[in-house]
Amino acid sequence: MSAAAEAGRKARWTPGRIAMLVAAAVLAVAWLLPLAWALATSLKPEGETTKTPLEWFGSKITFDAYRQVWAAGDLGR
Amino acid sequence: MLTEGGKGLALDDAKALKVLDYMATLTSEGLMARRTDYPGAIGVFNGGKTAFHLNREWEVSTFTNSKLPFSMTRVPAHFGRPTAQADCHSFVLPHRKDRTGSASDEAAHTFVAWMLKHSVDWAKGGHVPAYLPTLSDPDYLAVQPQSAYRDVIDDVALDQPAWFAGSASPMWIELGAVFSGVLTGSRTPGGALREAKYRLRKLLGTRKPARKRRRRMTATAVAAPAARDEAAAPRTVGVRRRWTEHGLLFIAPFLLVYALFLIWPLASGVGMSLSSDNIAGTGGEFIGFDNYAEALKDPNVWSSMWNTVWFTILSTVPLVLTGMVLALLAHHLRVVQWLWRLSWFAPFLLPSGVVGLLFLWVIFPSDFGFADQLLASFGLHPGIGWLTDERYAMLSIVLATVWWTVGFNFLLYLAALQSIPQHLYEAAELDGAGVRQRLLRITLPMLRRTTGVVVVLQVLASLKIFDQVYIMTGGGPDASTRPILQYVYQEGFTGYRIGYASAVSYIFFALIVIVSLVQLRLSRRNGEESK
Repeated sequence: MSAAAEAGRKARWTPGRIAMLVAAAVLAVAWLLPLAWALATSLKPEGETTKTPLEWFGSKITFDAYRQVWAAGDLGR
Repeated sequence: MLTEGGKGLALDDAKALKVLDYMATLTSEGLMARRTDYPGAIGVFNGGKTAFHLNREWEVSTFTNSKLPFSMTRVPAHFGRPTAQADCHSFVLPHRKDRTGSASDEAAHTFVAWMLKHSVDWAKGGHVPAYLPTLSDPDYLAVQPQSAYRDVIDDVALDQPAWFAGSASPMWIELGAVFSGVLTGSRTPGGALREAKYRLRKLLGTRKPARKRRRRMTATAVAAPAARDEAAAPRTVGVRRRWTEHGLLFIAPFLLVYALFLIWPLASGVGMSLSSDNIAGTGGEFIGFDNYAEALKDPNVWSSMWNTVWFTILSTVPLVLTGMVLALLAHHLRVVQWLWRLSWFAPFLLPSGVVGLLFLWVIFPSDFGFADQLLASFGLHPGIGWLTDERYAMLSIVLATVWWTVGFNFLLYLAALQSIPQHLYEAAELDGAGVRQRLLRITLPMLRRTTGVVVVLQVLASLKIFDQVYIMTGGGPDASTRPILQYVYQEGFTGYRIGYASAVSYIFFALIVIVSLVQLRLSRRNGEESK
């Protein structure tokens, strides 16, 4: 394919392509959410990890969980 | 529950009903969460929504974050005295004949003394110390209400010895499943008692599996005919290969490893499946097809085989279709390609243990799990026991598996899409074909070969289901998600019946061979049609 054709294809935002973009964005978010939530939970104080209702950030951001893993796994040695 | 010597049933119906009635009240009056999965129960207890947590392990330290003014309280005494169900922890100190001297004895004593010295710490975590001086230790007495259980030691009633009794035994698992039904309300106390007695009688009527001569431990888990990584190479047709001395020499290193680690275990597995072989003791004589006959009559073999097949059916379709759709989206949207590839392929890089624990503890627990919280933020409170309800557990595992492994199929499809010659599209466009026609007449037909490969790899991968289930549900609730490989593992490595487990493996192996042959047949026919 020529460069011009590719450029032309890129620029054309038809309703169909916008619908595809929205679908892809929703699916990408769905796939990333569990990982993002696990990350957010790992930064909460331990007592707040099972708190409801949904909150992305705890009362403070702490690396305590990472410190514990580091110590328990003797990763420093 | 058992008479002396573990030969008969000695269940006091009246007393049992009293306790079961009490258990039913706990949930019917809202004192305890009806959903009884461990993380969920802890969540509602910590939230101050229930007063009881009566499941699995008793870890007071877990509850110190709770909103309740207490982290533990005494269970009402039913028969006059405080009671508790407990099992003891035992430690094995290795012993060497040639080193009976003072040094090793002293090391053992040091260890035991250290354990006893920390009795009060164990007590704080909820354990009842058996070390007599601790029972009158003021520090221990100050630990309330744990120390209220100090008298329990005097009333210890040990389980009667029976091959199926004890911690994590068949009795423990089966009765646990029945009694937790009382808590969830799916069984009445009377019904649970009848079922428990029926299951106990059945266990009493089953002979202890033979434990025989110790033999080599060889892995007999089924080796599926094709690994995922062996992506199908293009079939070379019509090339006549000749064996030459040099050729043999070149493949010798591979052949040696292959024979040693695949052919030999496969052959020795057949031998084991024909014997009463056992990893715990003596024996291992030839018993012909007895293991196979028993396996074919074993309802657990059929139910776990069906679980594996059902999982394969449920997972293959969404995994193939989703993989294809995601690849089509990523290929045709020429923007932020890295984002699509990252989000859909990243989970595939996680080890099964990480995925299992992530879904078990972070996504699927009731109430505080991400799935429930996300639905709650939309105002939905479906109250699904994701992994604890027999109706949803398998679907939840499929959901987690799709999230985890669809990236691989996505990648295969993406590669296939990129290799479709661009001139086909250009020609079609010139002929006036629209988007839909290009998709239906060019893209999908050109993906046919890939779909064949993806389906074959996916079916084989799905049939090998084990890790996620083992971690997320342990095969439960009530064995409703237990795959055949877990049953093989259970029989072979926790039940010690390596011969029987091998026979079950080979029955499963036969199923895989049949599936592979059917697929080969289908793909050949497809291939001929498309020529």
